[in-house]
Amino acid sequence: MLAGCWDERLYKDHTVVSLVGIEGTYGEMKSYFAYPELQSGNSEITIIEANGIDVRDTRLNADLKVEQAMDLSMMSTILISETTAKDGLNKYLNVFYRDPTNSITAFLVLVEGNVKDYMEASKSWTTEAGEYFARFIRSKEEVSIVPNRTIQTAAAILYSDGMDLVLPYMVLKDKDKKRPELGGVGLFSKGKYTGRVLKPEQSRFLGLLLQERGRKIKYSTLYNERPLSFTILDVNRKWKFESPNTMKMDYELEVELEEFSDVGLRDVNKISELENFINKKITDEVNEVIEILQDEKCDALGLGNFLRVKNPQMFDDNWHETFANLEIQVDIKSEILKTGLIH
Amino acid sequence: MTEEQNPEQVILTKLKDSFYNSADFVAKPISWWDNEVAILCFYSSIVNKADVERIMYFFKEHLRDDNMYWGESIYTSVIPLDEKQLAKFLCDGETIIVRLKTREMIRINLPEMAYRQTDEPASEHVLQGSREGLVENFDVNISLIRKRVKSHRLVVKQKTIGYETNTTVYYLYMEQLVDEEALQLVEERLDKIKVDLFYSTGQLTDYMEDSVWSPFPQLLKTERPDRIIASLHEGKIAILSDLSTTAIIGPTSFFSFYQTPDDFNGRAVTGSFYRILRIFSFIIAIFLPAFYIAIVSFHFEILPLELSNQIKSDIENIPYRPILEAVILEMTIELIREASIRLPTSVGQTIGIVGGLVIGDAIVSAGLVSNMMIIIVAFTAISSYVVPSTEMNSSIRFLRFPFMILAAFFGFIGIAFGAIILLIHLLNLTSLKRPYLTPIIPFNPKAIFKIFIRMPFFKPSKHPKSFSPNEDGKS
Repeated sequence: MLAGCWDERLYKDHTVVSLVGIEGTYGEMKSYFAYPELQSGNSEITIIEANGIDVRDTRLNADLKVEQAMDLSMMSTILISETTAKDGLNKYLNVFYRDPTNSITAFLVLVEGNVKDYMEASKSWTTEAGEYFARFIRSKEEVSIVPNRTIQTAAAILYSDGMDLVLPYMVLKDKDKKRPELGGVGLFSKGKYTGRVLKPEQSRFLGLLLQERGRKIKYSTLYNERPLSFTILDVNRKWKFESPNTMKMDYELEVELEEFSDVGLRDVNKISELENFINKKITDEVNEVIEILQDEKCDALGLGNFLRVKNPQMFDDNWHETFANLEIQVDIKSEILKTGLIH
Repeated sequence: MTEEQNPEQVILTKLKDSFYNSADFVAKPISWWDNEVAILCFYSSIVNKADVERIMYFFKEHLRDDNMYWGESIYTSVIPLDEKQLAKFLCDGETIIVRLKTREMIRINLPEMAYRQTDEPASEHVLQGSREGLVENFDVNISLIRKRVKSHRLVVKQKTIGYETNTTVYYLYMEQLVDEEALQLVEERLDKIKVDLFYSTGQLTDYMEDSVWSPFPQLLKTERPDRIIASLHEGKIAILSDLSTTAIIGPTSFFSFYQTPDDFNGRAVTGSFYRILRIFSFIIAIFLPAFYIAIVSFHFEILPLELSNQIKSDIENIPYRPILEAVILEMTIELIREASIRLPTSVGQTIGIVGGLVIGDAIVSAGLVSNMMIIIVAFTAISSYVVPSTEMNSSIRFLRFPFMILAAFFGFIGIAFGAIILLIHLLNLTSLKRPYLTPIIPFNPKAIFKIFIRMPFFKPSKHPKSFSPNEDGKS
């Protein structure tokens, strides 16, 4: 994009919106925009509410209520209501792709209930409204609970037939309605929200299956009535179609034991015993997650894209049905690399 | 008028007339050997009278002209009388005794011109190492250099410039190491100088430079003898004059302006760190204000969200565009700088405090300029003064203005185009017909490494040569 003096956007004449919320469906859309307003040195978050036919319309209407030009170039989070997501996310996000100054690294977050409550809650935080959510999501990404989905990366998935979107799902449970918490990840099928949410303890295995780089998956369980905590450091995967209806997924995990109070961990047999236990435990968890995904016809792993590359003739419009009936065999092999500080 | 005038009286009058009866010109008859009459003449203001007197006494008492080379010694020589040359010698501070009988001149070369003691150069401070600087005297300067290079390959050549001032310009080089083509060029250009008055090194640089209108200095100016000899050993040529403490060194590359003797006096690791810091400061000094202006007027989305609030609250109530804001502040700094150079040191500090603290604080509370802009401009100013060379320093302080204007009109695109033009200019620039941006163009990976890293002294076994036209690609 070429900039000349005719394109000048003076920062002092623009209002920088960091958090956007959208709810409703076409015809009766409602958008919320949170921006900091300066009052005698302190900045206070102001929320502009606007109605309209579609998102763009609400944005234009909102602009009428602000004394400066509203600018979404620093938007870091978009909150989306469940109703909007159920109607299909693509058409509502359209406007955000078309404006060249728009921030496309903003996180997409599904929220339970009224979007307005979440917007209002932002007034009580010291951090910038949008940045609060962005940090929230980023820190959960680190531990693999939510996959990395921004406006940009979501677009690639939304426009693809062989992969489905999952978005972080937040709930507002506390009495004061001030602290949103992560409810898990919402599952999409064919671009529409299914209404089903994977709980955080399950969604981290989605990260494992997706083999997201640089993420660490933490897990705690009981082994012979002793607490066993470990971190999955690295994941290597191998997918293979055994037959048109059977999919084989081999995963090799590198595991670090965090906490395990048992003597004799230096014994090689003991370690392989533990490895077998971890294999079984994780296979169970993963199978559970895959079952839910198949139930909801949500191909969050992108198996469709994989199939399309390997066996293009087998891929058709009916992929989501095929996916739901696919027999997926998961084989987990873990290797304990580190055994922690204290044995 | 008496009919019978002594021949010496005639000559005396003629001599005084030809020197326009200047008050400090002395010409008088003296008696020489065997009642012979000679005429002594000198400029009393530029002659070491006591020493001349001693030599004259020695001549009269102990010498006779029946030996060969009787008049030749360190200070003296005897040549046939030549009136034109007589004037020149006198102006150089020599004392001349004209023997009327033999029509000979005895030259006693003992001038005493005013000059300073050697002193640390004010514009090139170093932390450690030699603190000697050049002075306004040829002999002292050359001795400062000769004592560092005790080699007969150090050649000093001279040339007289200025029909009225008759200034002697000296150029120095190391035989066998020197870049021959550049040497030829220096000689050609010195020959071309045809002026009446020659009084400053600035004049000399204008004649010697390849592109006078470039913002970048193409010849290194220094007052440090250690820097001169380091350059001579790289095959460069140094030009000195009696008038100024500044030596001009060429051919020079852009990066030599960013080196200081401190790099070599200190340790290799720290020397390298500061060298990298200085090159970083070049980028900051030219681009930072432009970058900030581009951000707040075009691309504010690249600010981190946490910072954006601060900046926003800062600039919201400034009535002007960022470019105007920046120009106000830059001008203030330039004014303070200019004022403190002209004023005596004690007053200069006061100006610094008044300018820095009072104006800086008041200008923000008055709402003319934002705090952020103060930070940017102050940071830039400090960066620009890191450059060891005063010449380069003024160049980069000047260069930031076009970039600020480009940024205000076209944002990052403007800066990018400006940077491209700047780079093309630098690539095209030559110093005594040698590429200015060497070793980037012509590309020499090993030498590029040396720009950033000060190599240990024992490492380079080969002679360092900045410009080796005959050995391209071999080294």
